[in-house]
Amino acid sequence: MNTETPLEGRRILVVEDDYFGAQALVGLLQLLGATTVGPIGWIEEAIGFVDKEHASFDSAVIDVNLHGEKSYALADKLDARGKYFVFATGYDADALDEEYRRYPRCEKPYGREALLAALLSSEAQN
Amino acid sequence: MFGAQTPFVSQRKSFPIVGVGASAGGVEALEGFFRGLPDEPGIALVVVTHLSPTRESVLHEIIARYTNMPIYIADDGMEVEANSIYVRPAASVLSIQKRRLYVNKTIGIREPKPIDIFFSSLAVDIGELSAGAVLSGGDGDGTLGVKAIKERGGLTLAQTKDGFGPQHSDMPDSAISTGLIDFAVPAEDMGAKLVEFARGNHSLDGFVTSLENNDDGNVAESALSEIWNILRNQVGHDFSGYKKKTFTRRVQRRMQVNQFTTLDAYIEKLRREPQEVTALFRDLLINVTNFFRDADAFAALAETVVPKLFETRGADDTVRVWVPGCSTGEEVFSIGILLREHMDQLSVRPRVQVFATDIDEHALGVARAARYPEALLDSVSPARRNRFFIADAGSYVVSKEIRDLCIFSSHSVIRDPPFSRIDLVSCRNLMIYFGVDVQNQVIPTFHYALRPDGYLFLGTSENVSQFDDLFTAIEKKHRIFRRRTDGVTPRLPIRLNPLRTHLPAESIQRRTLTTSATMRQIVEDQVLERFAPPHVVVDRGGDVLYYSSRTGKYLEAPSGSPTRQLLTIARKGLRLDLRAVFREAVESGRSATRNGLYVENENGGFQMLSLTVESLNWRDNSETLYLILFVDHGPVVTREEAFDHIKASHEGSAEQAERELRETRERLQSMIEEYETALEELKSSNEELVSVNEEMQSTNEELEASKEELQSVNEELHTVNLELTNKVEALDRANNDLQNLFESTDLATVFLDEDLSIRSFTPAVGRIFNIIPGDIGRPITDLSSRFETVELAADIRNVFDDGLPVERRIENVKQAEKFLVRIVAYRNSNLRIEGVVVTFIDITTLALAEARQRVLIGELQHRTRNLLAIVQSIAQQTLGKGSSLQSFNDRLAALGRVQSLVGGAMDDHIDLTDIVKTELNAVGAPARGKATVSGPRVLLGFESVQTLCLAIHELTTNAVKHGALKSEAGKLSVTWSVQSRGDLGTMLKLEWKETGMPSMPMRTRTGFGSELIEHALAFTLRATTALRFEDDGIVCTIEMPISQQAAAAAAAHDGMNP
Repeated sequence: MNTETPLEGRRILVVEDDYFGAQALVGLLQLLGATTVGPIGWIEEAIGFVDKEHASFDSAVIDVNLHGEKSYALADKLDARGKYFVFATGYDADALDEEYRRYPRCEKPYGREALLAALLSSEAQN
Repeated sequence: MFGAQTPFVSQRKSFPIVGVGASAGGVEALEGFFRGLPDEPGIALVVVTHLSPTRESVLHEIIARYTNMPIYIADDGMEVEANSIYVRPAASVLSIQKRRLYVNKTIGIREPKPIDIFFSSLAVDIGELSAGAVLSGGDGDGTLGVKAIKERGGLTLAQTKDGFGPQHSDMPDSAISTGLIDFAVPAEDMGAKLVEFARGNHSLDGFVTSLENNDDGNVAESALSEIWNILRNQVGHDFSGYKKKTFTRRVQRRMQVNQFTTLDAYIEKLRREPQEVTALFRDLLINVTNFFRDADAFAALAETVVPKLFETRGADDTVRVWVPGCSTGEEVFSIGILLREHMDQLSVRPRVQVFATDIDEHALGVARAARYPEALLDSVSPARRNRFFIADAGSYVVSKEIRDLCIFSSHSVIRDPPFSRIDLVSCRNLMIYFGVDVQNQVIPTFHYALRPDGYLFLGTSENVSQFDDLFTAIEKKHRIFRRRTDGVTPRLPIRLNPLRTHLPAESIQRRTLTTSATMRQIVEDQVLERFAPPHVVVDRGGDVLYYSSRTGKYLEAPSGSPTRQLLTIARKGLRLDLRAVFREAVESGRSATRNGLYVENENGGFQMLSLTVESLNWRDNSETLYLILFVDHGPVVTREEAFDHIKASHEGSAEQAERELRETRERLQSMIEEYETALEELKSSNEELVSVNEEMQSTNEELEASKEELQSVNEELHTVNLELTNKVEALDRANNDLQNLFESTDLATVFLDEDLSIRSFTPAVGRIFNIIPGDIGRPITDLSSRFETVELAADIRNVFDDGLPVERRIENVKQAEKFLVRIVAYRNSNLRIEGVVVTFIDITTLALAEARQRVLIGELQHRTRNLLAIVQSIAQQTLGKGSSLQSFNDRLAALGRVQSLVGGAMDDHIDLTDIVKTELNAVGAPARGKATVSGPRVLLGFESVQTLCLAIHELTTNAVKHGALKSEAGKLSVTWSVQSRGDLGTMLKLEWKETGMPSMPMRTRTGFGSELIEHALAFTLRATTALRFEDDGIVCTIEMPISQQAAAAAAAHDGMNP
């Protein structure tokens, strides 16, 4: 594994409602060598995308809060599709519903190592 | 008293009516009673009971089991038929008039005496045809009724023990103790007696009629005189003046009781049995019960004696009256009334005490109750009735003002020491029951009890003639006597014989012996009178009990107070010899004689005589008496002759003289010894008396001291009581305060004791527990609650154990309620834990606020972190692409302004106008006067604001650097509108238009600003943007969907500004 670009060759879906947040995340992932898919800002759009284009990505980073709506439905969808994913959140862990706390989280603002660790742990878990 | 008879109701051919009284234990007694009655006894029965109303109501059913006679519940006006039974209805007073029953439902509060009331009305109604049976019962009801029946010649019965009770014998015992019960028999034997009674009334009716019509009059008349004679001889009363008819009725009743059918047989019995004479005598004397019986005597008493009693008496003095043998109290209250009436006329009223005593506790009980049937109040004037009696449920109760004067106590006038310092002793018709011995003892007792000049009031047939030395008659006719003080020192007859009280038979026996008027006795009397030597009878002490005639020669009254001492009254020459011969007889127990004595008479002559002393046993078991005979010898002689004679008899016999002298010396010696012994005894008695006196004195002092102590204790108690009253008042107030506090606070507080039982609680607890005031004292764990109490119980135990307060939150998920339970130890004044105070505090709203706060904090974090993510992104985009630090700072400042707008907003929504104006204002002067901002009020959410604000910031910055706000001529207009696009929702369309300056390509077109406008708005807000470069400036349009809320605000704004 290339230590500069540890995510080389991976396709990662970015679901984030804020443009700048998405830009920051995309920038960071690309720095880590990943290929980003998206970003998508709206949950129904993201669900539709996962249904249709699930082959186009390997794993995902999803914001917990999308325009005031929790992204649990998307998480379930991803889980059902067997996709690894990481929750991006501005909240503390206990703001998440109980059953979703088991997924790895990455807190905003994003740090390079934290994001990488979260992504890797999501894979390790599954 | 014999003349005052009530006329008898003569109802020939009528049947007797029997009153049957019963109380506690009455059902069994009635069973026995009715079992003993045949089906047609020829009488009517009226049953009066005290049974509880429920038992009374089924009484007729109970009786029906034991008899075939018809049974009726008495009704008002019901006529009484023979061979029928009538039962008193529950809770009523029954009376009878003209053989019709009357039911009075009005009952007083105090215990009525229905038996007394019915019996007495029965007695008044049918007189000698009435009968009363007193069965088992626990009080004295019936006693007065029995008296009334007996007084009017009826038959009385009382139950004695057998298989049918009485379970409670007080009632029959009380009746029996009056001495007025004809038959004291078991209940089941009463029937037979009553049947005989009914039959007897018929047969004797004929007897009475024959007396009245003088058919065979001589026989009846002679029979009656025979009875009078027997009575006169035995008891000393002559009844020949008595109303013949009444007398016959009484005799008839006794015959019935004794089951004799012929007068001759009865007279024979009278002759044989003195007891029967006594019984007849007492039956004839029954008239003692009523108030003011012998009204004349009482009037005389009121006139003569009562005023004297109050004379010279101050308010501190006491008038003391003693009524021994008071029986059921009529005499007592009569005297009480007289005294009270006199007191009404006095200005200074001494205290009055009427001591009423009797040995019969039952009678005293009746007297204390002071409740009398109307029949006994015949002789009470209406005025007195109103003043001194209270009518209550068919009977009359003596008023308190009279009862307060009277003190009833159990006391025997014969056995017990008498009262003392009495002003008036009223003892009417008691002594007729006593024999002579007892009378002789009782009258001196009265004398002792009375003050000097005290009065004695006796019954009409009683007298104190044998004690003339003790009492003087004031009103001989009415038997009022005054105590004599002259001469006789008051003496208390201390040597009280243990005599039974009611022994008239024995005394009568003696009368028979002494007064029997037979021929032989007349002869003997005459012989005694004429030919027997003079004699006296003395007792052992030498007191003369009897003198024959012609004793004056030998005896002479000495000077000084009268005396009966033989040796004192013997004439001079006789004393020594009399003493000697008397002593000899007493000591030897044989008769002793001394001859050759001389006694000098008034004329100076001497009579020779001999003295004989002989013991006289006139009755068994009684004290020996001595008969002393004075036998004269020869004629009266002169002094000389007498001396000669003595000399002659003594002459030549110096020897005899010496013997006599020796004897005399010996006698003297023994006398001296006796005297010394007596002296010693006297001395020691005296010493004893002195010590007793001292003891008495010290006892008295102690009593005095005790009294003072009591007084001071009383004072203290008063004070303490006052203090207590104050404290109770204070406590009341404090309690009220607490109550109000409990009710005014909304805190649910329960006070529990050690067993978790509720001690008290505030009304608010009702919201938590199903609790009502009646639950005080129940364990709280018994009550259903909206919460689990298991933990609560454990917590309370902990508090009991360690005394530390416990707080716990409890939750009711269903009701979305939360409570804070605080359990604190309840300590008493000794700091001991006696219970706990459990307070429930409703924290539902507090909990909601807390939850909300947590959400807000989370939201804040979310925003902050998002913001930082944005800053991160801006930094990457700005600095990473070589833009100046200045523009990065500006962008951060714009973000800051958004934050302050959000912070100032009330509800997270910000007016678009504010956003635009804030950015324009941020660049200051260049915008002033150049920019116009117009559009409806549109409220945008936080999510939208941030990006939009940054976009406007970019546009403004561009305008300041390169566009309309840079040149003088440049103008800027920012306008917007809200449009509904059907299914697509509501759209906001904003136009940024710069004019008045040559077209200038936007520098940032490919930079951060244009990226933001073209991509970020589209991405984040789904906006459609167009950025055009017109001839005189930039035009930027942004079209974006907005929420319903924002649209509504816009519509409202339009409405306000058309």
